[in-house]
Amino acid sequence: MDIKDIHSGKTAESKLFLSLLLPVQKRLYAYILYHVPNKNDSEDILQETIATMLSKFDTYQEGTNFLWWAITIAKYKILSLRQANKRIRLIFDQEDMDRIQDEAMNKSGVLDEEAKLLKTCLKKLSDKQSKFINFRYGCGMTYRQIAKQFNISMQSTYRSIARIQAALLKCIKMALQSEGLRG
Amino acid sequence: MDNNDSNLLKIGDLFALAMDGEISDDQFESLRILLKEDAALRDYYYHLVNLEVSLRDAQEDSAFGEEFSDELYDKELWTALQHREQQAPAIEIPRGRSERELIQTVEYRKEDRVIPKSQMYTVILSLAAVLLIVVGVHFLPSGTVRPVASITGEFGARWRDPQELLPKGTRLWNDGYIYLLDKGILEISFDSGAVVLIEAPARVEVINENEMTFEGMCTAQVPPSAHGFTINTKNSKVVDLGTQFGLRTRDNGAATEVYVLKGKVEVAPAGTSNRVLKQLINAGQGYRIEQSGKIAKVSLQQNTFQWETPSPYEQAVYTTNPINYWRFDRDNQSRLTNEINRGSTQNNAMGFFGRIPGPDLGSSKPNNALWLPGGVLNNTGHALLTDHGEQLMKTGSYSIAMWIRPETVHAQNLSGIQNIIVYSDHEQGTMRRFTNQIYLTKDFRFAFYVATAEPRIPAIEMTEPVQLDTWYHVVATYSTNNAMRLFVNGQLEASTLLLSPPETDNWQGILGCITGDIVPQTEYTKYSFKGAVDEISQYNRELSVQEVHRLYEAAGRP
Repeated sequence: MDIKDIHSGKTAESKLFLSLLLPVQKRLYAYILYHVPNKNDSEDILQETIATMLSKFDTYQEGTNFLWWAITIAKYKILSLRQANKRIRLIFDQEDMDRIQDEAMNKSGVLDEEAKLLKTCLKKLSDKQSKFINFRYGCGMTYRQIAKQFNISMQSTYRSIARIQAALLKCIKMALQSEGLRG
Repeated sequence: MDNNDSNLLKIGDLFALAMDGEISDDQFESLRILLKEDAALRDYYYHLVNLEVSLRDAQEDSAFGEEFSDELYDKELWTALQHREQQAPAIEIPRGRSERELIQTVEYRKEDRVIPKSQMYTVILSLAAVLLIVVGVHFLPSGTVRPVASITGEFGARWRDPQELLPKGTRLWNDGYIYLLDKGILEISFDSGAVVLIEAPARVEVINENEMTFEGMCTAQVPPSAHGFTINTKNSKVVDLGTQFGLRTRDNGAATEVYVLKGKVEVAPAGTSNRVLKQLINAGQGYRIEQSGKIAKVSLQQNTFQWETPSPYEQAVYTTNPINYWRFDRDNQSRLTNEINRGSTQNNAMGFFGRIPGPDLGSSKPNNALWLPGGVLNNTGHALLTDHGEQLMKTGSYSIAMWIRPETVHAQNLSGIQNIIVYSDHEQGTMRRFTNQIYLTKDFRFAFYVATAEPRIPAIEMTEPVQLDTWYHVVATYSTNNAMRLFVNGQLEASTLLLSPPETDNWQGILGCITGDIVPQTEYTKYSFKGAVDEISQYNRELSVQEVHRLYEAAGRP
């Protein structure tokens, strides 16, 4: 199966592939980002991973864990692209990748719940914090662009985002605890 | 704010920098170390990454807009940020390093993509239109990630990651990547001029042009240009002062041993800044650094280490990917056990039995061979054990290649038949039957026998006797279609087809010197081999005729 099939969306196989991928695509990207915390590199790896998944879809056994299959491909894609391009940096050692894959699967349910609570927590941000989040995620600006636009330092921009993210995580954690979902 | 909150914010800061590619090498390393050492921080980082993905995904459902608007500009917000900037502490950056500065505007590929920030499924639909050309700038000022060494020799190297492809000529970068060598030998030449020869198994991380982190066994040749070449192990730091030295880690990296062949080397426990704790090692000396930091002199031999790249014959063997390979160039051959009187064992086969010059392998590199006496030794029974045959016969097919130098039969060998290498039906030190043998007949012809269920086929043998005190290259192969072949000096001397499958019950490999009990004329001593053997390689597959020829020709033989 190749891109043309996906474009057309007409074949049963392409429909099946999309129906399996869409629910897990975010988790797949998060797995890649976890190992390669760089927006451009991780998106490249995601594209390569999906391309490989497409070409190897006939090896996927229907009924088995699609996310596990996808993450396994992503793992080897990370390593092979890293080998081809040493500029790509990995946060964790190679030897830890199998253990991390297991952890990713175990945490999957809780993380989905966290994503649902994010909307509620975003509403609790102050106007200033919300606007900052909008610059970064709504307008897609880099920290350098934000800093240049408003004549402030890079340090201020990424620190502000980091603190807003910390506040959001705290909000989500409290919400989960009140729902009894997270220790 | 306590330490824990401080670290969480630090993780957030560093992650933010990394996302935009603005993180320096030292900052990235700081992030790695923080996450490696603290499980709670790893958990936070995990949730942070997922928040990042969720925020990008959530923008569609929120008040986020696609275009930047002046209405979003909040003077009060930016004034507050500027004020905070003046108050906030800086992230620690080690001295001597500065953040990487871009020298021109980077065109992020995001603008080239047709992928909207909305649902990820549009990535799939737009894949055909996405260009994968990087328009980034890879300016690499000193101190940043860059190539610092090269693989200049690779001899049967097999990596832990089967997808690893590191042929000769591969450039190695100082990016924290750890190379796990499972088999074979690797030569790495650092850009400083230092050359390191590494034997598997080994763990290697290239730090810079003149430094590496290492676990395993290696030797280093350091020219004056690379003075100060450093090897870091788990518990020590070894600094070369212009020399040639060998290093190996023991006890899972808890201890490090260093032997200096030429020149001088300075060793110290890891993390030491106190010069008093350092030890200078001169040529011919060996030292061991314990996990505790204690440094003591030890008896290490030059031939403990591999000093030169493999000879052409050795390289040919490595490329055939043997499951076992004994070269007998160094003492303490592992997995070759000298079982004494069916009881105690020791691993120093060469030190116990003997060493003589090996066959000419077409190289000036010194080559030693194992000498076997052929009779009772010191009134003590010995059996030189190799691995169990299950490994050899795992796939059903197998091959054994070796160099053999026969001598006159030992007086205690009353049968006249000399077993060079056998696999026996062996249990608790008692051999019952020989099931697979490479041996010399009474009239000095190499022969190969495989025991099967009835009906059995006799051994296949050379037609002409060999000359004594002469080296011969002998290869015996067996395949699952019951074909047996015997090659001598690259030529097929004999072959046959078995009528039944081979017996494979409880194998034990035994090499040559089966002297049995102290009483001579036992059933074991009468088959013992007197002579020398070298370069024994074993395979759990059938070597092809071409491979056998290549092995023999690699030794410089026509």
